[in-house]
Amino acid sequence: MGAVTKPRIFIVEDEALSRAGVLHFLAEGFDVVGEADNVTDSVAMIRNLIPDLVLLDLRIKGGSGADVITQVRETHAGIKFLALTVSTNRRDVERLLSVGVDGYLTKGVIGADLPDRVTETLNGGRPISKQVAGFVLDIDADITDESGIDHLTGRQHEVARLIARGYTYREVACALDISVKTVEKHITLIFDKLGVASRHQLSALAYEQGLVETDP
Amino acid sequence: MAQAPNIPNHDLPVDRTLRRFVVMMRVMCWVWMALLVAFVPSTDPGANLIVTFGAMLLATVGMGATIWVAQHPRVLSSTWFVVSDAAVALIVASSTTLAGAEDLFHGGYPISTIIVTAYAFNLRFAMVTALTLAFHQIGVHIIDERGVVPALGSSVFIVLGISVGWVFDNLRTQERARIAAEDELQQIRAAQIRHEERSELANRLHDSVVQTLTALRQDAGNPDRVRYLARRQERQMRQTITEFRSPFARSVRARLEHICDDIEDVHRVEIDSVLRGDASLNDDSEAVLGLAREALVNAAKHSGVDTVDLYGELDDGCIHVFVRDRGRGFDPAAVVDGQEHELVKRASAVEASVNVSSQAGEGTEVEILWEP
Repeated sequence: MGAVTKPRIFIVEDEALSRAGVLHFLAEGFDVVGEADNVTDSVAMIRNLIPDLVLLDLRIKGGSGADVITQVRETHAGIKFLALTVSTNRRDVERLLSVGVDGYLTKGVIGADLPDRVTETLNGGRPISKQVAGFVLDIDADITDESGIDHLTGRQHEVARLIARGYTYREVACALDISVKTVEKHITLIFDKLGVASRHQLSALAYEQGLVETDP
Repeated sequence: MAQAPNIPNHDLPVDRTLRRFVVMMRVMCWVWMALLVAFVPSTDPGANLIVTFGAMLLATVGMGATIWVAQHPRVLSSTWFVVSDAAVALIVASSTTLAGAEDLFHGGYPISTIIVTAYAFNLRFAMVTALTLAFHQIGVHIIDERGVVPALGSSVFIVLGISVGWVFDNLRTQERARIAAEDELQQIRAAQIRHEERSELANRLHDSVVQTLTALRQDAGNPDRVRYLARRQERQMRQTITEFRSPFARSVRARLEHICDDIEDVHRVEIDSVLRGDASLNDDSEAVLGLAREALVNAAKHSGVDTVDLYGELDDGCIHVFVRDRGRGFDPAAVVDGQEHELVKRASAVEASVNVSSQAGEGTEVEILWEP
């Protein structure tokens, strides 16, 4: 098997230890084409290398992983982004959802299943960890009626809650008597809806703090 | 340093006192005029009484309007009220001449208009009003040929305009400066409190991390011990942060995390928790957390796996907890008087409902719902 057939991965991470850990899990099935630890280098290298998927940390030198997504998507819309963070701060989750991240895992759960999650994202899946599902429910709970943004539907809420309870996508599918594909479809819709809600929430927050929001 | 806050005049606390002063001066000036007018019929037979009493009536209406409007600061300081008041003052001030009276009988009415202007606007406008009224009076003195010396008496308007306008402006400026200083002091205090909290958080995190690192160095050769220490550090940090983030002195969330820590330490399992919300801890919620503890201990002791999932929605009016393991489980039909049954019995004592679902080989999930 040549390296050509392996999916090309780029890693954005400013912690050397974490980078080594991620590399360790991905060394076998993937072609790690590059690494960077700050926003400027990441954007330039990703545009140059055009990987299939970028694994990115949220807090990096010179800004946020969300900035990398925004800037890369301006020129290369097709690259997938899977976030890996230690953050348990809800604002961070909102930032990533607002820029349309493909998947979101908290580092606590990273281990032998990381390659599966990367493959899942490459195939159009939207992996999230149970902690992220908890934040998703918090964000939904904070959507106000006057914002004009839709809440999650009953089914979407149920799916997010089962994931927060520790169910895998397969177990969610089994519990709700639907297919895994349908579970993934629900997660995609949840991401889309909460991306809108997060953008709204973040701009309201910026407004409150007197920051000028220059929306593209 | 202190920036004067942009507070409208009528929202300043001193505004009440100024309004009272305006009303008081108007009433006193009206009394002054009323006393003079009362003597006109007996001392000034040549005066037109209809014009005289007409002017008095107009001044009375002006005073009544001022007293009524003083309850609505926005109206008292509105341009239309001040312009109407100035027009009334000019008519009243002209009334001696119009009535052909010998002595001036308008008393202090025009003076009170200068005070109204000082209240509604500022020193500059009070001066404009004072000058207008002074020139008007000088004109009246010239027409009536009353002489230069009494005419110069009108300069009292200017003196009054300057002093009242200056005092009002200064009181307002001082008040704004005081409010700005108080705001700044409050900000400094808040910043101080934030700083103290940050330092305490930093100290606590520093101490606990350093302790763990020291222990890790000593036990570096023992992988189990290293894993345990790392996990314990993670828990400690999470708990410290929860305590700092929680708005409650005694937090349900911090308590539940503490319970998890105890169980992890005693039973050497890992409890992977997602907790949402928080509430103030009381005897009732403490009892409900007791149920969660029992469910967690059961999972730790009997499931045969080393990871337990915990999901909790914590709210003042509702605690909803799920405890789940992927362990050996049991056949619900086979259990007659097992552990789970004990949990259900205990739940009814605290008015919570417990739902246990399990399948042999598939793990167990316990749902605890408390909605008092």
